[in-house]
Amino acid sequence: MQRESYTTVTQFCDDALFREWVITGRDNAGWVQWLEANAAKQRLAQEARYLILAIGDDMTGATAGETDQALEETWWRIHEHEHRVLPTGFTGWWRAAAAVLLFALGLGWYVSRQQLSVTNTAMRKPPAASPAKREIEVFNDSRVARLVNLEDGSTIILQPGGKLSYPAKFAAGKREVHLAGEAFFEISKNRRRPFLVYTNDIITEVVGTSFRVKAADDQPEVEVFVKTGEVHVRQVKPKNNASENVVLLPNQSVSYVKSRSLFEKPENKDIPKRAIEYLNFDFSDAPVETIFSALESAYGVTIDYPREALRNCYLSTSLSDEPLLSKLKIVCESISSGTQFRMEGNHVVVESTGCNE
Amino acid sequence: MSDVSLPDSQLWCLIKDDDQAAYTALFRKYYPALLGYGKSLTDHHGLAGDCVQETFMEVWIYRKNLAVPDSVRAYLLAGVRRRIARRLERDRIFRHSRDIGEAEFSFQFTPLDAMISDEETRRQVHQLNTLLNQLPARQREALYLRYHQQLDIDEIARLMQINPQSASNLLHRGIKHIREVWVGELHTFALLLCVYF
Repeated sequence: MQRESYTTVTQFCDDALFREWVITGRDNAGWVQWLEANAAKQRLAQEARYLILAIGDDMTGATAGETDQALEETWWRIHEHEHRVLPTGFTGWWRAAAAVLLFALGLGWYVSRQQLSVTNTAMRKPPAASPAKREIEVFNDSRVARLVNLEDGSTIILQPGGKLSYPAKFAAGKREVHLAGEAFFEISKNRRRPFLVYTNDIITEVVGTSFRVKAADDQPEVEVFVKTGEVHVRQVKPKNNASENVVLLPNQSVSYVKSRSLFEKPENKDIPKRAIEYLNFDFSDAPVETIFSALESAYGVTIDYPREALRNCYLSTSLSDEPLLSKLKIVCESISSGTQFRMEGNHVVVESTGCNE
Repeated sequence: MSDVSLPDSQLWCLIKDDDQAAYTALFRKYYPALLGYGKSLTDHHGLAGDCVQETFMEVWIYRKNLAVPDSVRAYLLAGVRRRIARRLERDRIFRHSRDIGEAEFSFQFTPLDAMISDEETRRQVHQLNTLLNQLPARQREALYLRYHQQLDIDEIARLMQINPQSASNLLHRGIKHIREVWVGELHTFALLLCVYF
């Protein structure tokens, strides 16, 4: 039998028959007898027994009655679901957006099936030889936008279903990322290091600005929409030698038709309500609480700050053309010189003792 | 007719063939454990129950398209976890809750007193239990998934969105830590005995 070779407490804990004996008292494997014959294992087994008893049994679940009531409710909800016409789970603006937008593209993305099946928002960091060349891949498998902060201070809001890859550290001369799906970019200004977004068909190049790229695998077009600054868009593989370079100004958008390999004429575009482009982040004498909650809903982050200390703080500020990190920096500096913040994933922690009088 | 004693994969196949009795059997088998897990991820217990129901709803509604999972238990647990994460994320603007990656796994282990007959064992077990409940949330969650939900390392890793090595580390670190403290206290106890006797 295997148990003769056990040398750790964990091996006993992981033995289903041992657990059964400890938890239920049913000794189907003859543990009592075995331990008498194997005195050397008694200490380990005793420790494992204590541990299993300390970990206990799951008592938090439901009684048989509660379970059957939940089952009944579930059948009822299934019935309700099957007789409903409209799909749910998406808010009004998502439906509106889905109806308006046309996208395209397919990157040869490797997406782990396992990550797809179990994760909400999966992030994969492949091991790499040198830290400088390490590529980070983010796949947003959730139903809400996901914030991605880059090392240069730029912010990307990756929409559900979007995939983004970027180096842990950008090259000295340029900043390059790859996108499939939809994302909104706020790029920190740096004239010497242009920022390039690659999709399968087009390259979008900027210096410092904010814009949106919509490039979904299953759509015939790729769309780029500019909120601020100037953006250059071109094909990945130009036909003939005529490398068409489309220049977009604020509130302009251009669509690239994949089947015909050409750009349509840029057009001025109405900004979808509730999209981040629509928010101008202009505040005049606004409570700090209002500003933070606007940032929270726009970027999908949570912000922890000392509410009591900042209760009577009011700010006037315009934050439209800045990545999230710059916005936070400006707000914190405006509150007081001692106010600081740090990012922990999608969570912002602000430390402050109060505002400037 | 289907009964709980059938293996999960067979129940699942019957469900694909519209067998409501098999669905009932699966529901009864896993609802309590899933609810227990859900409640440990959010202190909003109504939300936990809701998410467990939605996970089961999905099984029936999409039964024709769902492949038979390698582990039905792990599949359902992952569904509950994902749903709760999604709902917390949706609600957090209003409630300032953190996302599930940072959410405290709040489950407290309860010693199995019914199986303890002598005072020395009770003392030892309760001491270990106190140490267990002081472990970091992630270590507690890994131990919970291993010993309460009987998941293997790979399933725990997928569920917690970490690699198998990290999952294994979480388990071992947890057990190693409490053993060190516990054994340390045993030694202290022995030393005290030496001094007094």
